[in-house]
Parts: sequence; C-alpha cells; structure tokens
Amino acid sequence: MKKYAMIAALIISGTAFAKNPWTQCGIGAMIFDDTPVAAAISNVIWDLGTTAVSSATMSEGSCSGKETAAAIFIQETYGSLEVETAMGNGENLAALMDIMNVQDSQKSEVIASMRTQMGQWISSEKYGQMDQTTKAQTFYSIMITAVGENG
Amino acid sequence: VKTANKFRSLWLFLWGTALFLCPQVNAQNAPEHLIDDDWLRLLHFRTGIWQETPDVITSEFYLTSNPRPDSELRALIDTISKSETQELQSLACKFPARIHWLTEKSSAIQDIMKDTECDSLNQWKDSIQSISLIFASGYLGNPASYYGHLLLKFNAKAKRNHLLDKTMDFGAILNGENNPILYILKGLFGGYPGGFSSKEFYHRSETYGSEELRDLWEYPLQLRANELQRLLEHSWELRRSQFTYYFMDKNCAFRVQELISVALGKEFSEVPTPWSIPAEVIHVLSQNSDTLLQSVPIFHPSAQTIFRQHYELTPDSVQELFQESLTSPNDSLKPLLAQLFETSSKVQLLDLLLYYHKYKFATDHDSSIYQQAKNNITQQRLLLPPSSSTTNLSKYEPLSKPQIIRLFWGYNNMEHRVGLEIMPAYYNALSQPNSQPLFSTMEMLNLKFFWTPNRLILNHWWLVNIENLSLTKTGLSSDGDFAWGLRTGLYNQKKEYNQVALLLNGSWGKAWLPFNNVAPYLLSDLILQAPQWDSDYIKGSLRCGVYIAFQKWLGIQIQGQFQVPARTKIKPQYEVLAGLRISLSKDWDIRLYYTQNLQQKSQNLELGSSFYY
Repeated sequence: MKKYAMIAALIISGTAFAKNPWTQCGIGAMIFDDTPVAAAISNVIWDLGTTAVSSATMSEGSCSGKETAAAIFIQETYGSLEVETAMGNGENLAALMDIMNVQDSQKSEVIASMRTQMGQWISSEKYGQMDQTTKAQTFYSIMITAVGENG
Repeated sequence: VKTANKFRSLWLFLWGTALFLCPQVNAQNAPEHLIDDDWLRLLHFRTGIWQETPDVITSEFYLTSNPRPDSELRALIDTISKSETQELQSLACKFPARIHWLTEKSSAIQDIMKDTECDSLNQWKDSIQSISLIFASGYLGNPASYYGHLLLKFNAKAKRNHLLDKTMDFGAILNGENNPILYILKGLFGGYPGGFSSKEFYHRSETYGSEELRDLWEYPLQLRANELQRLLEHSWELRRSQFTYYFMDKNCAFRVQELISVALGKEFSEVPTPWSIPAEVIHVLSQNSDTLLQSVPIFHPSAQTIFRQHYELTPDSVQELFQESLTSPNDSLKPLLAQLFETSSKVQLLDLLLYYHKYKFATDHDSSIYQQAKNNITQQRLLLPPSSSTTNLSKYEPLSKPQIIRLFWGYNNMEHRVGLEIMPAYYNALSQPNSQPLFSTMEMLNLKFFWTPNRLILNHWWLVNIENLSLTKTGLSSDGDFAWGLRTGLYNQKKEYNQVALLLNGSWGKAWLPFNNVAPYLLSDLILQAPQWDSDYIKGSLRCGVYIAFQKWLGIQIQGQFQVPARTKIKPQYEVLAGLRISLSKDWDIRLYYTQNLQQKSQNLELGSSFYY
C-alpha cells in the first residue's frame, strides 16, 4: 500500500520519472483528442517505421523512445490492458512487454509485479473516480516500476 | 477498357517505332513505346474515351502540370538525366516504384541510378517480412463502413507481437465535418479528398474489435519478392497523395485493390462496376489468382464474439452463476464466488464476466453500473493466479459472397411475368447464416424489375436497405439490442405497377431468439413517400413475424403487416408474407415468396433461383 501511495503521489506531482509522456510529449492532446481537427489530421498521419509523436511541446529526442511508444500504446488500449492484466495474459499485454523489450524469461515476473500493484491501486476509492487518461497514466507508472524492478 | 488500351498501345507503337532503336534515352526522344499498363497503374491514370486522366489530385505526385502518361515519362527521364547525385537521391525517395519500373526498361537509366539509394525507404522495406490484407466486417455506426473496410498490414521481420505491425488504409479526409447528411451526400458525390493513413495494428484492433465490435479477417498475401517490393515502393510513393473520395466506387476497397494490382502487374476485374465492396475484392482476388489468398485467413474476433465464444465453452453450472451475477452486479459477486470450490471455476466465472463487461462497455460507455461491476470483478480476479495461456477461440468464419443475381418467375391475380433482381449485397436475411449477423439484411442498390407480356416494369430500386435484428446469441437478455432498419429508394406501390414513388422507411422494434435459429420479431415502421399517389405521404406500420433457419440449407420467413396512412380517409392495408429459401450449394439457392394484400385483394407468387458470386 505504501508503494502504491508513493507511486500515485509522484504521478500526481508529475515528478515520478524523468519524463511524463502525457504532459511532455502531448499524447493526450495530440492523438486522442476528439476534436475534429485532430481526427482529420490523424487520418493522414504516415510515419511508417517510427512510433514517435510530434507536437509543439516536445523535442524529438525526448519523446521517441520506447517509454513514449508504451505510453501511446497504453493510452490507446487501456480497456484491453486492464482486462488482460487482471487475467494475467493477453495479446495487448504481450505487445506492451515487446515495446519495453522485456526478455521472455522476465515477463512473468514483470506481469506478476504489475498485478500486485494494480490490485492495490484498484482497491482504492479513487480508482472509480479516475478518467481513462488518468488510469492510463497510473498504469504506465505501474508498468515502468515493474519493468525497473524485474526487467 | 481493354479495347481502348489496345488502340492506345497500337498508336503508341506506331508513333514510337522510329525511336525504338535509339540507344540513348533522353527527353527529346522519349520512348513512349515503353508505356504499358504498369506505367498507367503506377501513375494512377484512368482510361477515358479519348485519353487517360490522372486520378491523384496532389500535384506533387506528378512531374508535369498537365500530366499525361507520355509527358510524365519524358519528364522523369529528363529529370533523371539532368539531376546531380543529391537530387537523384531525393527523386529515388519520392518516386521509387516508377524509377524501378524505368530502370527495368532502360539500361541507360539503370546506369545513372545504380548507386542511388533511398536509405529511409530501404530501412523500411528491409523491416517487412510480408503483407496481409485485412477485412473488417460491416459497422452500422458509420454509413461509410456499412459494407466493411479493407486495409493492408505490413508484417515485420522482427520477432515481436503482431499488434505492433504497421497498417495502411484509405479513407475520406473529413476536416472536422460531422453532419451525417452532408457526410453521406459529399461521400457519394466526391465532396471529400481521400488519403492513406498509417497506424499500428493495435489501433485498428482496439477501434474495430473492442469499440465497434467488428470481426477482422486477415489474409496473408502470398507475394513473390519482386511483387512485395513493388507494393512497398508504391505504398511509399502514395503516402502523401490524395485522391477524390467516392463512397460507392473510389473507396478503401478500390484503392487497396489498385495497390495489389500494381504489385502483381495485372487487373483483377474485367467488367467495370459502379461500386467497389470490400468483401467483393476479397472474392475477386481469390478467384483471379491461384496463390494470392490461398491460405486460410486468420480470424480476429471482436470483443462481442470473444465473449459469446467463451460463453459457449463455459460449463452450465458456471453459466448459471454468471447469469445470476448479472441480476445484481455489484452485490452478488462474492457470495457467488464462495459457491465455487475450485480455483479454476472461479477463474472461469471471473474471466467470463470480464469479457462480458468489456463488450458491454463498448456499447454503453456511460454506464456507471458496468464500470463499478467491472472494477469489483477486476479486483477479485487479481487475487487469483493468472490464466495459463489465452484460449484459442479464433475459429474461422467464412465470408459470404457479396453479390446476388436472382432470376424469377411470378404470377399475380392478373398475369405471369419473369424478372431479375440484382444485389451487390453484403448479406440478406434469408441468406445462409455465415459471418453476418443472424437474420439481418444489408443491401445496396438492390434493383428488381420484371417483364409482363406487355411491358417492362420496375418493382423497386433500393439505394440502401438495412434491417438489423440485433439478436442475442447467448440467450442473455442484455446480449442484444433493439432491432432497427432503414430503407430508401424507389418502389412501385400498386398492384397495377404504375405508381413509382420515392420512399424512406425507418424501422424500430425488438427481436428475440428463444430457440436456436428461431427469431420472432416485432417492428414498427415510419414510412415517408413522394408522390403520395392514392396513398399518403406519411404512413405507419406494425410488422410481426418469425425467421427460422434449419442448419444452413433452409430458411423461412413468415410476416404479417398492418399499415395505417396518416389521413383517416385512406383505408389501412393488411398484408401477409411468406418466404422460403432452400440452398442447393453455398453459391446457389431456390427462393419462393408469397404475398397477399387483404385490402387490395391481390396475391403475388414468386419462384426464383439466386446465384451468389
């Protein structure tokens, strides 16, 4: 519980990690904004091999790594990831492990750690009041912690 | 089209003969005789009556301001001949497929380009192992997706999850417009530009499978190395190009088929049609190539299909507890779990509930009940061990052939007749139950006409005819929705067949599935028509009936309809309908229809044979 409280507090303050892709790379505003302009732009995005996002608030170097790719992936697939993490396996969870370059031998430990942290987080009252983006950010932090400890 | 191509080729041949032996290729003596169908395909020229017209509206796609096949070829040769190394590199990145085509035709160009590479393109090409064609089933939430969607998936060589592979598709660029009427009209008449977009497959999987509940079929394309290279290079060329988007024909299906035609160096459809339907492209490709779509497709089920397949596999005892938990989703979970002694059974119940809530959340985002219930289930599931592996539920569901032609004989009170019904349909309520929603109809441009001894008569021409019964497959009341329908077009309303009217018919109601493949339904209709003739502009109706299917070879429909005009002076109409379909093979059936209008005292009998292609 203490660990979860620490993670949550750090996320809210925005200082948990060297960067927060949601605020520093503009993920929420750039890709997942429901505004028509964003929808129109997203329809003609062509970036082929890279997964970097572009935004006025980011520099290419800081937002093109695996963490940003993972953040985008989590934001987009949070509903599936939540279910698969609860079950302990699934295609989206496997893809997330691949984005983070987690070795096959380490995957079960990383996922077990994520499940433990998620169990603590989801039992808190605040979870039910969080919107999808906040949940995705917290899930991202949980994943980063689990990979750091076990990956 | 073929004849026009032959004349063009002959003319170019005669004109270019004098230049043919010239060894030096340059702009002054451009070898127009080199122009072939591959060149026209690469430049997206449409063959018109007098000349080819460019299809791409982005000026940067062409080298000349007034593009023609010969002037473009001359301009390309000229540009290559006069360019320095850096400019050549830029050209190789901009037009890799057409330069590749030219180097195969001309050794002089090959010499000039031999040391010129586009590094970013090569890096991308080297990362691709193969390409798949993906078909997404129809989605009723968006008119542009009624008939499904097609996209390409670039399968990476790297050993990583396929959700991270890139995809490419073609669609209208809306620029913020969301008025549905404008959207349909502009989509039909070329009011939008269309472009290609590239996203990872997980975006598609999540949008189509989890949010729009559409099943996906993945067809790995069996391409030779040179065909794969051509497809990748031409995809690269098109990445910033725009076309005019037409919903009916120049749509996602057309552009994907064009890309595959470029790769294979051949056309797939000899007979031009005014429509292009994704499922039809799949069938055309499989018919026209021995190997292209030979392997069995990979089925990616939607969240709804996953839930239904899991439900079918769940033991009855767990199914009962599952149904009980839905009656009081937030209070009953712990007591129900306590009734199960085996951990594996608890896992089964919780996994089934998670699949259910994921699927229901897609159709009801705002439901706090689902959200809270899902949180409780997730919390309980996290306390139990992970599932050992994902259950493989991806059973293959074959696609139905999309087009129907039906020849029929008919008789009413007055005369015999023979007729024809043509449907570039997606599916029909009496069709064999395959991948489509059960007992539902999705038709476009359904044209039916017949000959009597005296004249040719239009029976109807439906622009769109949709009827979705939204049936549950699990028997759960919450798995299913309201039935609805939309039909618009021209129809002949009188028994004398002399009163053609424009019709708009909206339906709303409910259907059930009390027994396997037996679906009673009750539908209300609001009908607008013009001119009114001796009926009324506005009518209401009630329909009740039942669909029955027995295995795949027999389908039955029985329906009674009571129709009331808005004006009381006009008498209500009562009509009964009975339909029977007997399938002789998966592509051929016999249908018998009988209708009786009790008010007009008219009867109508039709016996026909439908061929699916």
